[in-house]
Amino acid sequence: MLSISLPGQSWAHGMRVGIKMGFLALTSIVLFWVNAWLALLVTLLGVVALYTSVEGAVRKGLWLMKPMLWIVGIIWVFHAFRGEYLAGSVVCLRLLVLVGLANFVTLTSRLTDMIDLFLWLLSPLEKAGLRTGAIGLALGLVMRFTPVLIERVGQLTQSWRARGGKGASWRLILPLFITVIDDADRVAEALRARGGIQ
Amino acid sequence: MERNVVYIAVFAALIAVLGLLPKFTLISGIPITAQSLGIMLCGTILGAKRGALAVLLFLALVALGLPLLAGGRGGLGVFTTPWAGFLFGFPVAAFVAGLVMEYTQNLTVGILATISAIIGGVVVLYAIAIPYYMVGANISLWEATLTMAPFMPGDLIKTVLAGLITRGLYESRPNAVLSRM
Repeated sequence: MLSISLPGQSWAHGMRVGIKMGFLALTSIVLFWVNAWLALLVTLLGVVALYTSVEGAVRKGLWLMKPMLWIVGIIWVFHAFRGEYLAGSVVCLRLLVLVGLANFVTLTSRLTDMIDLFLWLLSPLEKAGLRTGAIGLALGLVMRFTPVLIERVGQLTQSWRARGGKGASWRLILPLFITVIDDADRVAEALRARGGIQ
Repeated sequence: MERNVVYIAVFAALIAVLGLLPKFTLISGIPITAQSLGIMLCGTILGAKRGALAVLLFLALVALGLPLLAGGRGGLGVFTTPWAGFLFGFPVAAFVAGLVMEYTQNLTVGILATISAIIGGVVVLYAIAIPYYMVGANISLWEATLTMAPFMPGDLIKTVLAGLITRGLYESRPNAVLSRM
């Protein structure tokens, strides 16, 4: 299944995911206390510089940001109505920096590394009775199931149109669920037949 | 055990697929993405605990970088926007919807599922998302509510669909509706 992250070998790809995540968490906390617009603007320019240093990151980053630009615009307009231009700008700049940095980490981290980090972070909970083995399996199952289900929706839509239906209809959701439940029962049976989840 | 894990995984995938469906228009002018319908169905079909786990699994995969949110978005960035209150509210919404289903066994499934979806997927979800947006965007409660108001009619329609789909599944695959066990 396709991940959002960019293929590549840039300096940011080479950095360990744990370090990037730690840096992101730290910056997010610090940013929360920064209220000077100039400092935020400089930070935003720094984030832009990060993007330009990785091939293809600017384009994909802007695409990821597109819905965010609307949100930021609406928030700024709300502030402008009250004449709080500066406060609005501070909120919007901070949001752009935060989302930009978080997306940058996602863009430059491989999915497998992220999953490894996630399971490592969960591992202390194993002693508290959480079954991390089941979680790892479930992650894999979702990634395997999603493309299958997308194909299933395509088949159902074709049958629907062949019988005179138009476009996509909510009526396709129930047949989708029924076929998927049947698949799930068979997969569960197959897992159990092979020794089950440890 | 195996069945629970597979059901949770499959419902996480269903949330993703519902979000990727083309927007369909029910009443002219109200476009609907079905992702939040998926959240409601996790609660009404799987029940509180498993429903919330399916949503958490879905959110984990989004955070890890899979493009599973409506419109093919995902990654860590979506959790830092002021709209992320919806994402953090999703597992609670599914949990509450499931709780209502499990503790009200004496109503017909379809009506009960709609009521559960309204309580969990609309009331509880917005009770989390609106204050979150208010703080994140630094605006008043009224302004935050106003910004979200356009989405509420669509969400109410989805609760009816959640009722119809849960009832349909209960009639055709009664064993799959774990909230009624």
